[in-house]
Amino acid sequence: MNTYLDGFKDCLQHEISFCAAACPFNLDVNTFISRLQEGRFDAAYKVFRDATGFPFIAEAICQGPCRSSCPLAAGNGEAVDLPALEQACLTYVKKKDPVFYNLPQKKKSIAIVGGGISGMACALRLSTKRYSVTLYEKSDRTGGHLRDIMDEALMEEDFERQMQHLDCNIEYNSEITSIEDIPEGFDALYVATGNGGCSFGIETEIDFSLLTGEIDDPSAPCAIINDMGVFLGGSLIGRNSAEALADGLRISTAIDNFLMTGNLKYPVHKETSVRVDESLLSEQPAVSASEDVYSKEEAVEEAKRCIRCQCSACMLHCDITEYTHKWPLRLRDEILATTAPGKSELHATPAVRLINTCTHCGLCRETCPESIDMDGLIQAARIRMHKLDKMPWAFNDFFLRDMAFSNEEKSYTYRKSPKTGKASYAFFPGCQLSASAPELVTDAYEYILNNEPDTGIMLGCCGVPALWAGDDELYKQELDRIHDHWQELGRPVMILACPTCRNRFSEELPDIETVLLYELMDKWGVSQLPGVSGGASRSKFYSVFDPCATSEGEAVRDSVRSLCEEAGVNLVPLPVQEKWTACCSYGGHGAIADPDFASQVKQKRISEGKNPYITYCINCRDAFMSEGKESVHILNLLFDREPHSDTVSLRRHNRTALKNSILAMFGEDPVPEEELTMKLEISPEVRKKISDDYILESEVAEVISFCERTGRTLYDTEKDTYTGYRKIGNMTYWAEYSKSDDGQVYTLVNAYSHRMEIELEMVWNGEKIDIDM
Amino acid sequence: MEKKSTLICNKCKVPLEEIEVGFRYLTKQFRHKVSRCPSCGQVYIPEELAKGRMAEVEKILEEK
Repeated sequence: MNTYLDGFKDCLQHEISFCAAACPFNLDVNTFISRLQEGRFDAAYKVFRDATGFPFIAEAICQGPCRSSCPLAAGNGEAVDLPALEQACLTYVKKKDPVFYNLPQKKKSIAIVGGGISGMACALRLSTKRYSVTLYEKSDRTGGHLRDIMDEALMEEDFERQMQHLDCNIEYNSEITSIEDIPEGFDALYVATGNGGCSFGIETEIDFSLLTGEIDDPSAPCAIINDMGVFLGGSLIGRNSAEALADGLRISTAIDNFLMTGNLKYPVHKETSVRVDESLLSEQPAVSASEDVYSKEEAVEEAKRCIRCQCSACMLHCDITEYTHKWPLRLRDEILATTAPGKSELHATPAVRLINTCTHCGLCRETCPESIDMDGLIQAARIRMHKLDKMPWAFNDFFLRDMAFSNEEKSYTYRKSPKTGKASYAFFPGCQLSASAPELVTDAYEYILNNEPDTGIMLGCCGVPALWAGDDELYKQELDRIHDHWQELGRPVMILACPTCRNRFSEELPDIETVLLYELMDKWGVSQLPGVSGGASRSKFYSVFDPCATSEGEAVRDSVRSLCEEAGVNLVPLPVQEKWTACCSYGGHGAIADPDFASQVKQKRISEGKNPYITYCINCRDAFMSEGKESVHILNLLFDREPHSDTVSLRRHNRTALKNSILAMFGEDPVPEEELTMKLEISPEVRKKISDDYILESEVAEVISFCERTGRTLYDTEKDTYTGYRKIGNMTYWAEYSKSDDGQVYTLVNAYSHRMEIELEMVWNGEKIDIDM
Repeated sequence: MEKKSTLICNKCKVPLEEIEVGFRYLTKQFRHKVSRCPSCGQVYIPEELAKGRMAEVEKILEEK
């Protein structure tokens, strides 16, 4: 997991916006704007005052460097008029006065030389922190050069207002020209003597790009003289008026830090590496003010133009971050807590479900400017949870049993070519295509044999359900089996129909050469296929839905479009899918762990295009069909086969039937079908209902047979039905059924299941005598 | 509720009563009153319970 954690250090979530970085005060513009967007001028004022100390002065002297940094100004757009919004905020604020906090007086004393804006700002903050502050001003009034550049009355009013609760000693007409002039007893000194002022021997020519913000930075204008921490700032070191004000505020923090730790750490202006998704930028013009100042409504409207720049690539593209409303750094912390060793009583495990919900589409990694691999972290977390025995079995139980069925006698086989007895190629259709559309597998295999007679076949599953269940040992066993049988076939090129299988093979079995069926079909030509011959043309418009596993498969994406063209399909591009291949919800097998999430993802993908979808992953097709969206697999079109949705039981039957049709090509005897032990009638409605709940008809038959054998049932005197249960594997299944008069035919009325175990199970099985009542 | 009144234990031919039963899921065990035959102990969990409160508790325990 550590491999993936390193990447999170580069997460840009906490990077400040462009304008905040351009602002001399590093104003938290995103918070300021969000309050204005809600029309909360008082709340916005607090943010502005906290950043600037003297808000009215700051507004008057700031030259607005934020405007040129705004990404909305690119192209034909206009920057958000932040200075005008600040002006509006100061116009409409009602509570301008600071709050008085009754803090205890601190024992340390600080001297400030220079009563200009920088010195005043430093005095404001340090006095607020209840240090004993003495400010030495050479003239008979504070304000320095600000008196030449702004309304003096406004300045004095702001000084007065912000310092009204503070106790700051100002010594007028006190010029300090050497360090010796400073009376003894001070612990720190801020030198803000203005342009060309006295610097007490400290270098004032500063290359600000060299400042590191680290302790004892040699290029920083600060030093320890006579045990005092001495800091320089403001126009003395070449700052403009707004920067000088900002310096005073920042130095107050540096002095506070020095007094507490003894470290000389000169503060630096915050820069940013933030990235903004281009899709968020618009060229909407700025709101123009009807008067000198924006009206309240105009201000709110202009604030709403601001996109509050923050790197949100993952939030825009990842289905999990959207569903949980949690940022990756928080998800990382929750995943770490969940996968920490020790019992859940000892620490919280907030991400159990989330870890089992990820679709592993990989969009997080692809869209993140820093390529942070949340997908990889979650996969590693699944494996860790399994190792720690913390994985709830119910999340993956059905899928693992399904995989076992695929890879066992009733479904699995591998053979060399029935035509040549050799295998330069071998067709690996994948377990889900075999279950959903066995006729497409036999169609495709016949097509392949016609084009490349030297092609064998391997049915079964690539093992990805074990990977998603976090069981890497089982996963390895499945891969080893494939590898061994591939060797037995003579190391053929594997022709894959499922993009997920392709990725598993590429990553885990690199010595096996693979190709996707659709690329071969595009190469070999499909003009003779029933869905294409006769110059088929279709009146309907379709959109190709690229499976998430083809994010790096440009070749197959092109091949499928070319096949569609040959099949006379009019294609309409899906705006989202053409750029990023998102998951239909099947990936990661999250449908049992979080059905709501799976449903939401399906709906989102469906909403991305109004035309029917053409997919080339059978799971995408099935996922969309299950929500009523018209969808076809590309093979449905090419072989002119109608798509159908089958129950979980029928899907098992399909796999066995497929195996038998392959065996028949070799003149071999079929394997017996999985047959019910009784004559059981099930209406289509009940059949669908239990299939949706992942209940097999064979499991229902086992329950009824157990109930009949033991007589452990409940009888409904009104409905004339019997109800009983049986634990099979981990799940407990209930069946309500009726019997024919001769007791030979059973009719299923209802079936359901639960994960919780009824402890009496041991009594019924004779393992315990006490019936526990 | 309606169902409960018409159900009897098929073995003992007696109506069901609300009696405690032990349950186990993942690493947790607890007891709860459900419909049971007072004679042989046969349990009845209706679908509403299995898919309602029981599923909720399963969900809680899975996240612990």
